[in-house]
Amino acid sequence: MSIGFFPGDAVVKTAQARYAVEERGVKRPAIISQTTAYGQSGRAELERNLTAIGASPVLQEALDISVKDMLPVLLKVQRSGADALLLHLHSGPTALIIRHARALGLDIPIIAGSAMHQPETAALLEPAELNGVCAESGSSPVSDDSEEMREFVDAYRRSFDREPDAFALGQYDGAKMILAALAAGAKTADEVRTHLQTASHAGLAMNYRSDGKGNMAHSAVIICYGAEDRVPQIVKRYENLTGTL
Amino acid sequence: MNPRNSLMIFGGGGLAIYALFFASSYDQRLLTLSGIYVVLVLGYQFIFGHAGALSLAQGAFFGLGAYTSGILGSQYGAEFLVTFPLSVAAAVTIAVLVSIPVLRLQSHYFALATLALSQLLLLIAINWEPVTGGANGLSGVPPVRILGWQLARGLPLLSFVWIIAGLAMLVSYWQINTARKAAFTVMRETPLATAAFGIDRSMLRFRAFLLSAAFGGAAGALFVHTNRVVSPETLSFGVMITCLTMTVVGGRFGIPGAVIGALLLTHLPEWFRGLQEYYLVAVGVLLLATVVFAPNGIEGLLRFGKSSPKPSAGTATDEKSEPADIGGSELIATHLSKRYGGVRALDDVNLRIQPGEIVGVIGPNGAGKTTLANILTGSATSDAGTVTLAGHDITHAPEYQIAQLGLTRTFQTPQLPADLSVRDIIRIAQADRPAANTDAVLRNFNLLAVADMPCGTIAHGIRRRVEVCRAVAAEPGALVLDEPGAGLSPEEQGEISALCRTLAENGLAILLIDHNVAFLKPLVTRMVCMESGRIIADGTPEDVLADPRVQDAYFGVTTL
Amino acid sequence: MPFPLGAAYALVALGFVLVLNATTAVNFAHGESVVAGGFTAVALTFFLPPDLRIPGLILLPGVVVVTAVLGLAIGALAYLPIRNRPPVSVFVTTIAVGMIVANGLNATFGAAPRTAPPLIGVGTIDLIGVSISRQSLVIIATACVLIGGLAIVLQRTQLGRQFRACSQDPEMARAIGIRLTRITLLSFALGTAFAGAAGLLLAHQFFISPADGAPLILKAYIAVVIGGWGSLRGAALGALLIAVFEVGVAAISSQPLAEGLLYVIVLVVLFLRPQGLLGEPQQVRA
Repeated sequence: MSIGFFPGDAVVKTAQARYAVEERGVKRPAIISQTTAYGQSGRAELERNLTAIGASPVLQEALDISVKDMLPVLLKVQRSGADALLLHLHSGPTALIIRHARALGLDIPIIAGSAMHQPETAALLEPAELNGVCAESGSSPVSDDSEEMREFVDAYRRSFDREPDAFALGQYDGAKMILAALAAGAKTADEVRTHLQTASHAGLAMNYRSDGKGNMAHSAVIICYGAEDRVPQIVKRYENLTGTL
Repeated sequence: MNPRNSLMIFGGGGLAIYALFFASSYDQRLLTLSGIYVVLVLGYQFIFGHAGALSLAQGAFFGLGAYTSGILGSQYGAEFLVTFPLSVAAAVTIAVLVSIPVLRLQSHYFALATLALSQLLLLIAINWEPVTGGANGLSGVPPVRILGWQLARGLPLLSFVWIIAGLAMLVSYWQINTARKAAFTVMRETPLATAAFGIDRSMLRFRAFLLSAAFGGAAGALFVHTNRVVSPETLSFGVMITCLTMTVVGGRFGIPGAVIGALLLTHLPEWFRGLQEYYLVAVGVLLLATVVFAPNGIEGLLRFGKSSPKPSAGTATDEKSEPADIGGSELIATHLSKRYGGVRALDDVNLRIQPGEIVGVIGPNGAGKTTLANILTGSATSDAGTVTLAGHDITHAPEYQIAQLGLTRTFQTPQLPADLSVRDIIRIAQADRPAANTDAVLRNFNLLAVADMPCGTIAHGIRRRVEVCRAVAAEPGALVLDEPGAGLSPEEQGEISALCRTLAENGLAILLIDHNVAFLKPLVTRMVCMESGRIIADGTPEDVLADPRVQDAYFGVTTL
Repeated sequence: MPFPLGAAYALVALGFVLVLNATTAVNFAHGESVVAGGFTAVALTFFLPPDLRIPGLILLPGVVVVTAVLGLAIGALAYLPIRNRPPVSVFVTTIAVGMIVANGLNATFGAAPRTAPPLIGVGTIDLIGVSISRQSLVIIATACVLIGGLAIVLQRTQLGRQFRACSQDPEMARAIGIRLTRITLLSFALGTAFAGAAGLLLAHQFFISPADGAPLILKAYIAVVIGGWGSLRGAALGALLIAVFEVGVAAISSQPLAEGLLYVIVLVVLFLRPQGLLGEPQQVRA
């Protein structure tokens, strides 16, 4: 069995759907996803979650990764009367659709997928374009003000010369847990696995606990960007998402 | 045994020993994959190598086979004996469908059309989720199972794939190393003259395209049963590029080339792990360098066993046998007209050439002489008028059929593939006449001494003779010779003249186009002068040359 | 508005035809030349002072020079050594060059998309009541200036006459003393520089990533077939048509359907009118 330290689509897509509907009052969302394997599974989770809480998508469209002009799909979103744009796209297309939505003057909320929080995504956009964009993520190291997190972020920047994202933090937490397992006397891979699957483990990003299927991470955050810089704020935390609403 | 064959045998044997005793399970996987690519590349050699057309659909045929097997296998639990033939059939069906609009296109349009087809299929695979599984593809494809007997991974699967590859080699050998190999060479290297050989070019390309599709579909089926999943990756342009690289680097024409290319390109990533992400840059450099420095790939570099004979003057006199009585056909053109844009290339041309007659056509540049030759032999079509050969209307017959019906031609520049021997060329021209005796024809044309030399190595004067011999080998009833004396010494011109006389004595109707009045005058029985697409004089050479209009049109240019 | 993308496509297609007319060969590395132009802009940005917000358009001369040199290299390595072989060989060598450029950029810069600075400012402009993004206007304007400049060079200058002579009848051109090799290499340089300029224009509004070359060459190729093989005017028009078609059809149906229909149309056009929708301006030699 493989062990995952990063929340799966079932978890983060629940957070994305719930944030849109419960916090932003979205009733008629549009889903834009990618025609890749990543896009295909995330889109299904997003649709399932939205429908379950009574906000069936009014428009769903899957885009090829090579699409350069987001105008056609944005025009469709406009015409569909959607009241929010929910994205499940890779990094480049996420930035591209935000840029083109801003150029078009589309003024409905944009709630993006985890790719938004990869540092290279925000780097593609101007802060003015990012203003008001929200996204789901497993965690957001750069947004967190706690002492421990700031230490992690500084150390990461020093070591890798780039901004840490949720994946980086997930890997860090995972490695720490394995080290803790070894310190607690685990000698074989199986013993490490057993250690990880019992009890809960406090990590920097969240508290980890196995669901018996190897998924350790069940928390997600929603981050939003302001107009000044490319550092998002955490606006909502979701804990213990089972992935089954 | 020549060194090339022994290399193949030792290479193959060494490979088998390596696979049996030394290869790890990972190595065996790579070898299995190589075997699959051998099938793919052998197929691609038909259309890219032999037919000389850049098809960008070979990856698409591979993917089509992969999806056919993948869907049937994972959704309906179909066995290999069902999925494999259906995969081949699916690829061939699509090839037949697109070949109607696509195959007659010129190379740059053909490349785009096949690329568009590939993109279309990829798009369908990604977006037709209920059937293809979308971007995720379909998993759960069963392994190769034949009549309940399941092949295990590792050596059994490896052997099975290479057995199929071996069968593919046999099919390839059988398809290519008959008379067709030469026909393909003619088509690729001298496209203008293909029809003059009586070869139906579109049929040959069609065959090559279908074979490439069949092999591609087969490779795709094998791939999916080996990998056990099918995904849009199998239809991606990457497969096409891999196949193209293997074919170019290994060699476009032969079985060793396919094997070398497939083995090399599947193993290179392992050997060049150190290059990391620059590996594909290195492959690009390898591909570029191969095309520039080794156009026939590694196989071409290994051709040490095949030495070409030294060029000789070829004047050795063969013992001549009595020319066979071939008989002749009357060639009649009535009211032929042809316009190119605003220019009248032919204007109501009427011409009759009887068996045994040699009619010479003279006229200044642009008078329409070559247009007349092209229209008579079908390489151009007239706007109006008819052409009959021995009473049959051949006005609208395709070029290759006209050649088969008994009207052949030569070209201003001899159209002889450099790599083929003189004997090969005559054999192709005789293709439909198995009874014909190649040696007798060669002897009549005094070509026995050079019979086994590649045409690229023989002297210009002899090439002319080969060209005429090629035209006559098909035993035509009528012959159109376009400037057969151009660029020849008086002595060589004399040889051609003598040949023409013999042929006319045998009853052939001959139309001879030439600038050189001195060459024509003693040879022809009748002379025709053309100017601006019209026949302005027709009669004995003396009468025509004395005609003031002819002197005006023909010599006026020089006296001014 | 499909026009910024259409304008950039037009530059790409024109560069493609410039090389095509000089060589009768298809330059499959042309899409990667666009990518190279975009990444040149990205790389040159490192040398600009980051806080002054210097307009990206200032990078145009640098991008043009670098990609023109790339064009010379493509011509010298992938075309000249095999100029007397069948045109299929040039397809393969330029595919190889495309692989080298794309994978070289991928290894150096990574696979992720990059962006260049905005061409001139950001935001929108009110034009007769319609708000249009400044970027789009600059892309269209720059493309128009470059295309107009090319037209003037080809029609009015000695060099332009030599270009046209070579594309119409290379043998005759050689006979009247035109140095064919020089003109061929210049065509590669100019054509690739046009692709490079398109790369710069695209890089801010549409980003640029190493894998972008393949779709771009496909669009240019289709534009040239639709516009008439070898016709410069047709290529520009074909490019605009494709962009309008893509955006228009995708906006009323879906993106995959629009793309699929485009390929179907290509196959139908090739079947019914192999001379292109707008006709071939000259005899095809490829």
